[in-house]
Amino acid sequence: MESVLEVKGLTKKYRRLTAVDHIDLSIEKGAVYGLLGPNGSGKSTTLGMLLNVINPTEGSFSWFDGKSSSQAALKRIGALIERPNFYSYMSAYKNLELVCKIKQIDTTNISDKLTLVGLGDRQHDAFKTFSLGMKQRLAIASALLNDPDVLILDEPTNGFDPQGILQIRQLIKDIAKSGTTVILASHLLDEVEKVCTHVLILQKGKMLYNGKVDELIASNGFFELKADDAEEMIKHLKLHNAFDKITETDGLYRVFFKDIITPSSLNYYLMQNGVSLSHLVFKKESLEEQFIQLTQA
Amino acid sequence: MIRLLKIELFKLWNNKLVKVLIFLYLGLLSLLALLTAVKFNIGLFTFDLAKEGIFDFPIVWKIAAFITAWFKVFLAIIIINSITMEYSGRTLKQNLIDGLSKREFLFSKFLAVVFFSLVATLFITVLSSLLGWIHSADYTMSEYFEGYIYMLGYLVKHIAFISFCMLLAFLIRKSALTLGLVFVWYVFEVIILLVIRWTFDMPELATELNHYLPLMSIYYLTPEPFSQLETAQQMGQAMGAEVNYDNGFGVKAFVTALLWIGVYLFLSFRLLKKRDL
Repeated sequence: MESVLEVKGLTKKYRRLTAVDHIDLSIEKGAVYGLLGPNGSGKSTTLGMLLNVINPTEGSFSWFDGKSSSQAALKRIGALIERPNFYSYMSAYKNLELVCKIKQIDTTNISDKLTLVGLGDRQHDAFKTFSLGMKQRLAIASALLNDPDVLILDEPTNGFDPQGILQIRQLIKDIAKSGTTVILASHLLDEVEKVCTHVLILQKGKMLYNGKVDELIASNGFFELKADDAEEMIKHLKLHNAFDKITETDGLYRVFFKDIITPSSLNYYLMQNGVSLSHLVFKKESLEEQFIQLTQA
Repeated sequence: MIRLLKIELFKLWNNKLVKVLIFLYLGLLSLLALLTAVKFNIGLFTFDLAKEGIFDFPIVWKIAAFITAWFKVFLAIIIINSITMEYSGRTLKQNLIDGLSKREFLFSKFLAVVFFSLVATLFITVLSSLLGWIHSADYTMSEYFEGYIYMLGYLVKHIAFISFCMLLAFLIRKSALTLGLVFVWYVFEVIILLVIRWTFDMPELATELNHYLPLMSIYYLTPEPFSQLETAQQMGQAMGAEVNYDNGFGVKAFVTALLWIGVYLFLSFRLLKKRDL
């Protein structure tokens, strides 16, 4: 696989605070990478360093195997960070025209991209007359202007109404499908879960998890069980050849298996061994549960 | 280079405030032409500026440059405003993310400084030529071209002053405060010179230092021309004063200004490079 971004030991210190603490990251072409963490965990600082607006204290990174200078690399990237930043006195169209001049690309794309984000009929109005949602849409159009190889989005659904959020998520999925690498920072878990293939979890600048989303979310799921004779149930569960572990809270047992076990086969197995269940639920752990577990540890 | 200038002019030209300031500025420069009509009547004595020879070549160059150089503060305001707005609107951050380097950003601003200075110089060159052609009775070509060196001084003075304002704008990042600091700095230079001259009683050092301080030194690029007028010289001689022709204009003034411009660029770049956005 072609590497899009390599990050080694990236660190940013502000006086007492270490905002980003030795992050290592490798992003391959076509991945949709989620940067997940609570407010103030260092997501935006990390992206700021990758985008050359914040000077790293330590560490290094290189875009596209280091084949192009970071300036040339930035021209192949589309980025939307925190808040939309445009010239308030210029129209949407003129603002994008300026971006084209900076990126040294043709202006023919502008109207298409504005239409794509639903700003087609407002393109000649001044930026200052836009609502937050419209400003955000313009920022997305701007990020897509050069048909980027990498799209960086920091809290992309901020300021959107519910329909807007759905539209933008669909847009991100469509863009990802077309093979564009996406890096998405968010504190919204379901956003990352719904859109991303990989996730990097940050807390206080430290990396807590870095890998595939579905490896983080235990893919085999688990069972919630109750039986009148709990001891007998536990004894037979432990004898099951795919048994992994069991935990108990308030008389409710959580059982994890190493393989995929269907609820009916588990029920059948226990019945055969003379254990009758009073409660059987098959569950998949959500990213949210994983995230809370990780960040509490 | 051209690309960077185009980017900056695109930003400026779409801003109504900038357009208004530019037209105001050019309007004020044109007002100079009205000076031709000035005639004072003091009793029996008529003072007609045009007849005093202020529009003769080559002195018209010096007078036009000396008077209109004060208006450069308009151009400085445009540049200060354009820089501070990039900070307040966070568009500087966006420009960098879009792929402009910090060096390119600084140069796009500096090229705008040079561009505006060139426009001002060209405008005043044309204006002085017109006034001279209309009012000079007779002149030689060498007298006409002699003035071009003063236009070069005019150009360098503008670049130096506006670059100084550019540096302060990068430092302060707020327009009103930046303009205030330019004024404070000017007063600071004046006080320093006065202190050296009177408190420490070292007038030679003060006179010498005058040629090197950032704002004082550029004065010598468009020196005061009136003492060279015949009337002034006659009056001076009548009162028994020595007429001093050395007005400080010369290679030293150019070199000093160019060195300062280099310093302003270097420091602006350091500020831009070191700060996180």
